Amino acid sequence: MRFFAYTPSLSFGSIFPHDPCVSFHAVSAEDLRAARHRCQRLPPYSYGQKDFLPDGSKTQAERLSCCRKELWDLLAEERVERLGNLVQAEWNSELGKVELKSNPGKFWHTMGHTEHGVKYLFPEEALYLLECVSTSRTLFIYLFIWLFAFPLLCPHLLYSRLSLQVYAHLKRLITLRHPVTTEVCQEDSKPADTNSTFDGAANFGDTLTPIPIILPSAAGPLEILGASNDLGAALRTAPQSTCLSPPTSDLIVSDLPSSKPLSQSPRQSRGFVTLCDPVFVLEGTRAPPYEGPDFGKGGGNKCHNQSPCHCNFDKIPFPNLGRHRRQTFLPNLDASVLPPNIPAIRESDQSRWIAKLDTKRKQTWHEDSMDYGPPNRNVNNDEDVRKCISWAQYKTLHARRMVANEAKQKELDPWHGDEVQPLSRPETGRSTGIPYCRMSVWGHRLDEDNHVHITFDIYTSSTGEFRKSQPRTPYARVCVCRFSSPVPTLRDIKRLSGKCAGSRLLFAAVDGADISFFSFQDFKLPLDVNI
Amino acid sequence: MSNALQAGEAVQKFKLEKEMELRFEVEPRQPLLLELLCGFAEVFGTELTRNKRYRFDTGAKAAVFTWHGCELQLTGRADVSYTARETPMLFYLNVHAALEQMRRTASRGDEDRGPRAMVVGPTDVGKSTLVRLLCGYAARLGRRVTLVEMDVGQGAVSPPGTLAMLSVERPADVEEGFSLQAPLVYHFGSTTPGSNIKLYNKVVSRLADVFNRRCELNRRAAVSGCIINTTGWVRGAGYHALIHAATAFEVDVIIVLDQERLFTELRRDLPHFVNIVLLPKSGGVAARSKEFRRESRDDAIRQYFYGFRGAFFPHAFDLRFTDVKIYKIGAPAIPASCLPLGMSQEENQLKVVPITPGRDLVHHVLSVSMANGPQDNVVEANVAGFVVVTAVDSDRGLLTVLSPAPRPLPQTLLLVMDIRFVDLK
Repeated sequence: MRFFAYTPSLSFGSIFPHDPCVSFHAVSAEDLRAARHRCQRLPPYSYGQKDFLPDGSKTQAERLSCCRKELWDLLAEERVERLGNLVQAEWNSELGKVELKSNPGKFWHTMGHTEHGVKYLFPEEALYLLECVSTSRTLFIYLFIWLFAFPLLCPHLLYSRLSLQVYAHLKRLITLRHPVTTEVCQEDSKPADTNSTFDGAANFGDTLTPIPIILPSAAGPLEILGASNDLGAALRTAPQSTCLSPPTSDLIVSDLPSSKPLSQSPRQSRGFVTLCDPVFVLEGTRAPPYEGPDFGKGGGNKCHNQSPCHCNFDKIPFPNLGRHRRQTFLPNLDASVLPPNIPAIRESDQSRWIAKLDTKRKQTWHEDSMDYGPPNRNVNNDEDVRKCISWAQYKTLHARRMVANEAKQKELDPWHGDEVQPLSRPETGRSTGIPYCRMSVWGHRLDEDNHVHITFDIYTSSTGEFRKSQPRTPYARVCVCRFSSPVPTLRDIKRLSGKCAGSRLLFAAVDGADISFFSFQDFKLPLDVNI
Repeated sequence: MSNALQAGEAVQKFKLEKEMELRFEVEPRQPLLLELLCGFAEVFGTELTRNKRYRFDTGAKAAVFTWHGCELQLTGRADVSYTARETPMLFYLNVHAALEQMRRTASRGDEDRGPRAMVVGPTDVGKSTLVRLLCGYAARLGRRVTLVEMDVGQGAVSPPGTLAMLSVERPADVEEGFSLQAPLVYHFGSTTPGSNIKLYNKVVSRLADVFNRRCELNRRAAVSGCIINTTGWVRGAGYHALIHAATAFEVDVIIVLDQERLFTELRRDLPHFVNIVLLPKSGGVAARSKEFRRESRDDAIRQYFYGFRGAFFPHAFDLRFTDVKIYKIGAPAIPASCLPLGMSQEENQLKVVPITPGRDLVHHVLSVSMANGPQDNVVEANVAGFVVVTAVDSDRGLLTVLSPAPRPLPQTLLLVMDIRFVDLK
């Protein structure tokens, strides 16, 4: 069976050519299999992924099924070039680190650390290794593994998501290091050494001391953080019908029925055996987003048993063409609920209207897709909101949270919510020093609340003298921020520049998938005003 | 105005089977007469009387629906006239039935209040028509539904630039619309909520408070519930205004017309006990151009002063500058750099700013506020009526206004609207 393209974003619903003669140029699974070792080379005859429209015929369905099977067999095949590059590791939830169970590969020169004779990787490093596999091999099955691993490791990450993005980007290019706790560095990296070579690092937080990480100079990382002997075996242990089921356009992430209780927290699970234990799949749901009371299922809209709501739709449901709680079967309407001179209405199925709405929906989504910002969180995902059964309860909950937020804001900012008043009045302002005094309080508070800080140190790999234990002076120091964040204040720049003695200060501004780096080439800081 | 059939005019007859609809649009400068010859039929929830001629004026668009089958006659030239079988009326009737069921539950005492429904959707999907239909059906069953009109551009209750509430006791008249008996009207001042969204939300909250108080005092109104009509602005701040309205009125049901995305977003942002349903729009809904909307607004203001088809005679008289106090809600925008540290621009949107009468006030519509003075809560005070400034004589300190009633004005505090009305016809 043939198909056109072989990319992670391949759409399985549209990979068959409508015109059989076109398939002459298609790439077969065998072609791909033969080309899998030829790095940096694209499969021949890649014509893109949308060359036809599905016609819904049985023949096409069979071809599609056959192709899916071939493709998933291909995907399930081991992708590592040398089995020796595989590394066994387990997730240690108590320490919040990944414990290596076999000898590490080349990545050990720049990553990992030893603690009491045991080799560990930080979650960031483990995620980076997984991500490298997923991107360099263009196999989206690895991406799912990464997607699974991310929430598991997320609570233990030192970095924010933004920082992780910049970290992974920089790791592919240059040498960098990140701060970890002093406790970790006692064996592998001596703080005294670090401080002696880099003055700025001494001021880099009281509890944080950097350890080095360096990017391998090879074409790409060869290591895979695996669960068992190899990743392919891990994948094969997962149920075929779910783990390897083909993706659909609606990507729903959920886990499988497994031997472990579903309620078990990821933090409690030990080891990367969970790669296929609660496995991420593309179909089926265990814990779907909360749908609210089940109004429309089973032909009648009934309130949820647990949450008797204000409305009672026992007899007459509201018609609904929406995808959630669709109700197109209209029941008999008794004349008693209808206005005079309208006869009783017989039940009818109005599902034909869905097709009309669907056409419109596609257009509307297309038109409006760019007009909206990032989606908000569903309010009904909140358990407290789900417990509310009326507006009164919902508003009370809201008010309570508002009060809590206000109190929190007040803690951070004693003037929060206060009336804005001039710093100085003509009748009270005896000297210009008084407003400066009051402003200095603001400055102090801003400094305390400031979140701009140095996240990574970058080392050039050209020197060849980099050692994890003695990183020496970094080439540059990186602060990660959002592109939409406000420009760092003069105070920030002064503070950070003071920590970068001899190194450049870089700001990594993340905008979606794009990362921009900014730095001040040559600037003079103004002198502080002495009162 | 006579509805008599003139000789030589085109006559078209239509025989409709049950659950069919006749749709027509009236040509410019060519009124159209509609007559029900036999059977039963209705226009947006209002039954037609047999052998009575209904006149539809220039630019009118209407649909006659029959549940039983009927024969109709159109006299005059229709720009468009055709029959349609495919209508969403069954959906709409089921919505009415479900609402009526909730009213019965409330009237039995099982619930403390009747249904509160809100109709939302983009422009030109038939929101106002559905609201009129649902109000009409409820009124035909003897309910006293409260119609909340939040469409400040094309409202059916009050002139543009206002938000209003009306207790609907009888179905809307086929030609004239709802009987405007004692509506409660609030000043907004513009035809789009975006011009001052903070004021818009404030007035919506005020409407909700008033409605809640009415429900406490009037059991029948509480049981009948309310139906809220909204603007077609469903993006950005307009969407947030919808959320605010739903929260303020504590709606039970939201009917989304013809937009899946809005349906999905409302489900995401409103708690689960709000029943949100998506319904199709009618195929007969026609898109209205900007010019048509502008003319409709002018007609609405003209109808306020001159009555339906010129049945009233407004008064023009002079007012001394010193006799009235003229204000505008919302201060002009100030650059952020000019604001005190910590102050946001929003706080200016509810400021009541005094206005000195001048030439630029000519043709502006002014609301006569029920507030006694600026010390009162002017923003949340309802209005007694409207006047239009037709001339300003700064030398003599006189304003000439067009008023629906003779002097004196019921109150002396006037609020300026952005809307202008030039009395040309």
